[in-house]
Amino acid sequence: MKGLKGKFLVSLLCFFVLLSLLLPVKSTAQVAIPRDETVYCIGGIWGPPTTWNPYAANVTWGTEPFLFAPLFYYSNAKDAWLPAIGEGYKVVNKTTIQVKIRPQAKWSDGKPITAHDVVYTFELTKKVGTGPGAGWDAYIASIRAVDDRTVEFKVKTPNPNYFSFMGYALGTRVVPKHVYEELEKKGLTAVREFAHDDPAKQVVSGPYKLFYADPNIVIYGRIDDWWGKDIFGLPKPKYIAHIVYKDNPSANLAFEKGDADWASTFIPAVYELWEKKGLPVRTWFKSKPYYMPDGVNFLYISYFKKELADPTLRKAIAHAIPYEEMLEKAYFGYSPQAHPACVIDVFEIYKQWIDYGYSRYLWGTKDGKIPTDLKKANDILDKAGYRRGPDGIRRTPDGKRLGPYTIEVPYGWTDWMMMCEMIAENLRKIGIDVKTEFPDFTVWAERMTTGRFDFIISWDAGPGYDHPWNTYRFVTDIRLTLPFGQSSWAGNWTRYNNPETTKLLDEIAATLDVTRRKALISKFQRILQKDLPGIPMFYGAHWYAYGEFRWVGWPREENAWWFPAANWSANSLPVLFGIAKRGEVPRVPAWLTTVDKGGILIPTSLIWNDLMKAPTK
Amino acid sequence: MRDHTLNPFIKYLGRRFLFLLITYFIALTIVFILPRVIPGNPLASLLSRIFQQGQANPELLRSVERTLMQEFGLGKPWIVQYVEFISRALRGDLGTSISSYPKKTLELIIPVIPWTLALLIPSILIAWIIGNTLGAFAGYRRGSLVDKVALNTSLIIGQIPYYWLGMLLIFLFTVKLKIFPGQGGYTQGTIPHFSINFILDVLSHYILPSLSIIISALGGWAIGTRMLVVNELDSDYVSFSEHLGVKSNTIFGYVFRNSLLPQVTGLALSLGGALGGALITEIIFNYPGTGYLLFRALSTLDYPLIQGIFVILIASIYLANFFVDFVYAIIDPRIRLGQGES
Repeated sequence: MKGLKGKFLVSLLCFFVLLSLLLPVKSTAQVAIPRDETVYCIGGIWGPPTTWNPYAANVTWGTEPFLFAPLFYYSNAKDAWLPAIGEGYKVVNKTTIQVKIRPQAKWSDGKPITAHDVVYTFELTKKVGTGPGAGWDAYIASIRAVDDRTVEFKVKTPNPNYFSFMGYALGTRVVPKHVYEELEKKGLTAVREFAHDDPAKQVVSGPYKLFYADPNIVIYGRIDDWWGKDIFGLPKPKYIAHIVYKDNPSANLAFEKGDADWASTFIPAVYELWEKKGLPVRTWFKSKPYYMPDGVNFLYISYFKKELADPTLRKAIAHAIPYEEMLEKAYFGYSPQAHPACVIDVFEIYKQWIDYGYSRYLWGTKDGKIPTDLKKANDILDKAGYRRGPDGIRRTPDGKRLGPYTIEVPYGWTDWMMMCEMIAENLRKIGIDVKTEFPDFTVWAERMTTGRFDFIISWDAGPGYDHPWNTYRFVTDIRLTLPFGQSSWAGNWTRYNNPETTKLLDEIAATLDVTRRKALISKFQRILQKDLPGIPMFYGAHWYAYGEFRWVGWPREENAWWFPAANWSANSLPVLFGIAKRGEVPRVPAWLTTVDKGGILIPTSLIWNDLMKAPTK
Repeated sequence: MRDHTLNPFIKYLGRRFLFLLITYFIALTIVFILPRVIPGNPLASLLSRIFQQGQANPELLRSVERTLMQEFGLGKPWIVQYVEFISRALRGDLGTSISSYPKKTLELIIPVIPWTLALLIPSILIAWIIGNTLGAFAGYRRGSLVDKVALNTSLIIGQIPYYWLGMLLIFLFTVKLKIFPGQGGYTQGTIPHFSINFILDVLSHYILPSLSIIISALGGWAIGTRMLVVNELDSDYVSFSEHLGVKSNTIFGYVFRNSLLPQVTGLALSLGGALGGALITEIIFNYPGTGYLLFRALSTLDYPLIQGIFVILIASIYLANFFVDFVYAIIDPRIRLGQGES
């Protein structure tokens, strides 16, 4: 007996030793990075890192903002472009724009970044099917290198789409031709499956590159001899790290404890952190709504069920949504009610696109927003002939019962789940039989993208240089979608189909005349608010919070030197140039203002103007 | 008809092997069908991430969706997907993960296997040793206080589901007493490396999940051995030895060894199933093993990864079974001869 037990113990021990050898241990990696040189992030990545190759469908968090620079970064709060690899642009004529590349621009392996890299990036994207600037060939007629430092873009005509043209020509990230050419020789699969995960061999254009990654953590390290340091200086943190947390609560706890500095998560009652707990923590605004907006969130009603297509019925539903109560109770006041024109009115620059007069007239409120008014909703339905049955549920004029319908969001999205309950309750009050359903995310997403849903809460395309056109297209363009039952993520999930709005979309995108554009957008808004393909409810919050335990000077309402500022945002890199270690005085770089104030930011309106004044040929 | 030329042992093994191949093929088919019956879109998590990165350019979304559908063959009819899956599996290619695209599923599975084996094999062995010893003592001292206590405790413990036990342990040792961490394989954010601190860290994360497996498996082994020992005690050789005046310790030794045989089979089987054995334990403790990987694959409907994990799990269970058959045939001639004649 003793012998047997002894053998077991020995073999057990051997087994342990063997296994410890098998564990994925990299003894060469540095054990820990200095905390005071590192900005720790939360909310950017929730699973093991995958790839740092822009041609892969799911690049790891950080690749876009920190590793690969575009020609220009865009700030949607300033509506201006920050020249990065690009130095400036020249409008040749109404259909042609040339971008100059900075002579200093170099890849991290020392090779210069040239116009040929830019041209190659686009060509490869077309071949691979995904990647930087995917889909460019629908809007751009040609991209060519005039010389080593000049790229020329020509917009597709007739009916040029200047919005998409501008986005592709200025905002696309560039990849190193000399690296990808080698891969392409092995085939397109090699391009797609390239992980680009070896810190020693990674070739990037941004001021950071991969330092270390395993399934639990991603660390980027600053390139101290980065080509842009004489122009921009260096970003302040030596490292940017992101631990892969299991869920929101564990990530938020790390943020609250000061273990993380840059937060892009949903934090319930975030104001308590500084108001009650007195922590050195803040969001963009010190008081409500605390967060900047990041797009419009809609109540989408699918056209799959014919009876739900009636604009009158949709109008009644719009009046039944408890906007204020819902945002207060379920969303912690993180967003104001959305404007029915679908224009984000928190950004001053976008307000010019709202036809306030029409909205005021239509909805009967001072700001033109939709009032919650159950009595009015009931009156509208009564008048339109939707009579209540014995069960209190209304019937359409031709006798079809309104319901049972479902309103659904993914399980676990607690803020939206609560909104669903509140909306469903009010809809029942006006005689529409709606139940809530909270399926798994993949199930919800499938129903959303195939159009087979009744009511869902979901997002739009987000703000940009093309706002609100971008939102309008996303919500209404039938060309973005496929028939009911076929999955299409690109937009118009309700399958709204109106040739008039489709034509208007093209006209808005084709005009360079601001007055004309305003008139067209106003015309669009009238149809949008009448048909209500989606009911704009509130602006989704741009999750950006920072802890000043270790790093100070983050952009905020009082000192709004850069936005977008969430750590996952593709344009957030400048944030890292203006913060400072606690104890040091943060200085906002001088280049972060517009050209008229001595900086280098180019307002979008300036580019429009140049195009407008340019000769036709 | 009896074939005198063929070695019945080989014939028996051949039969077992053929049977193994057929059942494995059936299992693969089920593994292929099951995730596809679950509603949902496997590309959802991937595409929504592109949305989140503020890159919701419709053209980009459309081309990514189209490319991925082609890449994973999701648009093709099931039968085509099935043939591709089987033919690839035979070539040892378990496909590319969807949620961790473009990583190969094997790249994801292999690094987590050591974690699962390191958690399960020692735990199963410890539970087996303690359980059997306990059961044997209880059986030998049938009716005594030791027996009653051991039997009743085992009965109760054996009935506790191991995941429930896991949660109790987390509540007690992590939340209340704050002695052991209840999450992960090592402290979040540390980079794995060779140092005493890191090894201690891994061990402190190891204790609770291991304990939950040991405690819950122990009862079953104890009850089983006790029954076997009790039966054995009634056999002739025991009474004969007792009459001869053989020392009770020696008799206990014989009895223990004889009643252990069926338990060895049980051990082999549970070791064989080790890779998938403690799925829920790993989920509860966020332990970075195959179970947790499977959980993540299921929640994102990552078809290739789900398939890949099952292919390996089922293979390991089948191989263990085959191995047991093989060992049995060597130990017990009755088996191979009996099978050979039928």
